[in-house]
Amino acid sequence: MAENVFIALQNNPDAQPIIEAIVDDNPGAVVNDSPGMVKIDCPKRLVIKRVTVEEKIGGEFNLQDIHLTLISLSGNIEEDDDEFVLHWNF
Amino acid sequence: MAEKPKRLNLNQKYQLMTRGLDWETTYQSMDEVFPYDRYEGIKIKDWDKWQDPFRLTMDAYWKYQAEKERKLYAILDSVAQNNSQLNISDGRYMNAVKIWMQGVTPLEYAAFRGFAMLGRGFRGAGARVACQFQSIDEMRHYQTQVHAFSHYNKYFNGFNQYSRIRDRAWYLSIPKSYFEDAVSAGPFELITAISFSFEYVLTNLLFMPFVSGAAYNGDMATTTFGFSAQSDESRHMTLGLEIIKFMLEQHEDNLPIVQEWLDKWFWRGYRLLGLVGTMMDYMLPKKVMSWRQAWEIYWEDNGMALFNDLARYGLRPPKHHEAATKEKYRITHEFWSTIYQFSHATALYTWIPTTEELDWLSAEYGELFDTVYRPRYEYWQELHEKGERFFQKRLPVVCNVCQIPIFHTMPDDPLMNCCLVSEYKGTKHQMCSQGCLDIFNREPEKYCQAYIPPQQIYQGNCGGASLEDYRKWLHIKDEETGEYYGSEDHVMWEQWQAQAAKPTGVAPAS
Amino acid sequence: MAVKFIGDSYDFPCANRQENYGGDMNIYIVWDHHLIYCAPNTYRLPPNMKFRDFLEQVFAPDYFQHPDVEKVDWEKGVWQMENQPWQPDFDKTFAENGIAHNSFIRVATPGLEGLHGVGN
Repeated sequence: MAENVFIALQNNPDAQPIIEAIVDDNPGAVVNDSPGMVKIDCPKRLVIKRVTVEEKIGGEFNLQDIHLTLISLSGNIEEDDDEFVLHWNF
Repeated sequence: MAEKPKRLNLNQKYQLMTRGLDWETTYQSMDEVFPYDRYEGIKIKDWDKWQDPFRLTMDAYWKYQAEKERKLYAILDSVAQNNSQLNISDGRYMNAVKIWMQGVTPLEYAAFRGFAMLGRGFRGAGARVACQFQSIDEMRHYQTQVHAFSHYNKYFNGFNQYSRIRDRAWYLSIPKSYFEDAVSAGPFELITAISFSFEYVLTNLLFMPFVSGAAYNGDMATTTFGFSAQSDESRHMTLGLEIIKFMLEQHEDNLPIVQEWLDKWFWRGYRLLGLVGTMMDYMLPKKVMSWRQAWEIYWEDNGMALFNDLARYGLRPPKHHEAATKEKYRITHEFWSTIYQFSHATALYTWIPTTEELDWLSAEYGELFDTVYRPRYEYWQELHEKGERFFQKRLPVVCNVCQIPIFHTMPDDPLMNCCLVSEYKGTKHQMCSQGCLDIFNREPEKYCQAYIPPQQIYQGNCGGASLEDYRKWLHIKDEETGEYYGSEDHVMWEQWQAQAAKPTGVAPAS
Repeated sequence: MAVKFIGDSYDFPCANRQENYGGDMNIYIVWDHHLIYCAPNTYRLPPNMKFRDFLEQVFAPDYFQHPDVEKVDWEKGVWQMENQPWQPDFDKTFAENGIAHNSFIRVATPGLEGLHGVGN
C-alpha cells in the first residue's frame, strides 16, 4: 500500500543540515538524489526537529527557514516552534 | 547568557495576524460583502476552523520572499553576465523552455488573477490571507519567468510573441482554456481545481523531475526560478490539502460536490500534464526520469498515499485515474508525434530523437515503444532524409474539453483513436476520452461555448484558412517553426559549438 | 448536474453551430490504423458534395505520405458514423448520406493496417 510522505529540498549548503537532521531523526527515511534536489521519502511520518538542525549548524535555527530551500512535500503538516511533522493518518 | 526576550510563539502570532485583524461587518451584511462563497452549495459552519499549518503571517511572508528574490536575481544576473546560454546541453533543449514561456508562464499570471479574487472572495480570514499570499506569489512567478527567459530571447526564436500567441495559437489554448475553466467557476471550485487537484496532486510532476532536468541540462536560469517558485508551491499545495479537509469536515453535504470537482479537475490536469511529460521524454537531451517513472512515483505512490489518507472522509480517488495509468506507456509518444507533425504551426522546433535517445525510450517504455513508436519515428526520419519532412497539412479534430487534438487512443487499444460524441442544443461535440466526455456532459452549457481553434479557423476568425495566413495572424515567422535540424536555432548552436572548440580564445559571437 | 451560476440565467449558443459556416458544414473523419497521421481530420465542405468526390479528391490526397493510400479501396472499408456501424452510398452527397454538421466518421480498411501492420 502506498504510504510514504515526502519532502524535497534544494541540494545546496543551506539544506544540508536539514537533510542530515532528517536522516538522524527518521530511521525509515530514504534519500533520493536528483540533479539540483534531494527527495526524502519516509513511511507514514517524517519529523524535522529544530534542536537536531541546530546541533548540525552549531547555532540557532528557525524552522520556518525551511521555506527558503523547500521544493515540495506530501503529507498532513503539523508545525510549531520545535517540530515540523509530515504524516498520514491511515 | 542573557535570557532571550519573550516572543509570541508561531501559533499566537498567526491567530493575531489573521483572525485578530478581521472583523464581522455591520454596515453591510457579511452575505453582501462576500456574495460569491455560497452559490456553489458548499456549506461552512465555522470559518475559524480553517488553519494554515505553516502559520505563515505577513511579516514572515515578506521576509522569506525578499530573501528568495535576492538569491534568485543574483543568479539571473550571473546567467546573463556569464553567457550561460552557452552552457545548456544542446540547442534542442531550448524548445522545452519555449513551451514553458508560451504555455506555463501565462498560467502564472492567470493564477495571480484567480487568487486575487479568492483573497477577496472567501469570508474566512485565514483562507483569505493564504490566498492573498498566493496571489502575490503567482505574480512573482510570472515576473521572474519573463525576466529569466528574456535572456534566452536575445538568442533563440520562439519567445518574443508569447503574450500574443497565448491568445491565438492552437496548442496554447490547451493551458489557457484549462485556467479559464477554473477561474470562471466559483471560488471553492477554483481553489479545489488549482490548489488541490493541480498543485497538490499533479504539479510535482512538472516542477520536480522537469526542473531537476533543467539543472541536469545546464539551464541555470530555469532551475533557479523553478525551484524558487516551487518553494512557494509547497505553501500552495498545503493550502489545497487544507481547503479539501476543511470543506469535508465542515458539512457532510460537501462531500459529493468536492468529489465531482476532484473527478473533473484530476482529468483536466492530467490531460494538461501530458505536454509536460512530453517535454521530459523528448525535449531534455540529458534525461533525468521518464514520464512513466514520474507517474509511478508521483501518482501511483505519492498520489495514492494521499487518497488513502483522504479515504477517512469518504473521498475516493478520482474517476478514470486507472485510464491515466494505462496511458503512461503511450501518452508522451502520441503527444510528441502530434507536435512533430504540427510544428509548422507552432513557435517551436521538433525533431526525431537520436538513436541513443530512442534506445533510452525503448528501455523506459518497452514493447509498445519498440513495436509502434520507434518504427514510426524511423519512417519519419527516412522521409526527412529524402527531403520530405513529414508535416500534417490538415487541421485535426480537437477535444471540446481539454482542447488537445484527438490523438489519444482507446484505453485498451493504443492503435485506435478515441473520439466520443455528445450532442447539445442540436450541435455535436467531440471529446478525446471518457474523462473529458463526463466533464462535458456534466456542464454542457459551459463547454458548448469553447473556443476550439480549428473550428474558429474554418469559421474565418483567425486571419484566413491557409497555414500562411494563420501563421501571419499568430505573428510567427516561418523560420521559427518546424524542423529543428537546419533551423536558425540549430545553425546558431552549431556555430557556438564550433567556436567553443577552437583554441583561439575568441569569444563566441552573440 | 447542471452548471451553477450567478444571476438569472446561463444560456449561450454553441460556438460551433452550423450557422457559423455560411452554408457549409464541418465533418470529421479518421482512417483507422494510420496513426502517423495522429488525429481525425476536420473539413469545412458543402453538404451537396458527393461522398466519392470527397474521398478521392480531398481525403485521400491528405494521406499522400502514407504508402497505403495508393492501395486503398474505400468501397471495401468498414465504416462507422458516431462510432456505430454505417454504410455510405459513395455516389450520393454528404446530405443524402445523412452526414450532418460535425458528424464523426471512421473507416477501417482490413488488410491495410498501416506501416508495419501496427497501425502507423
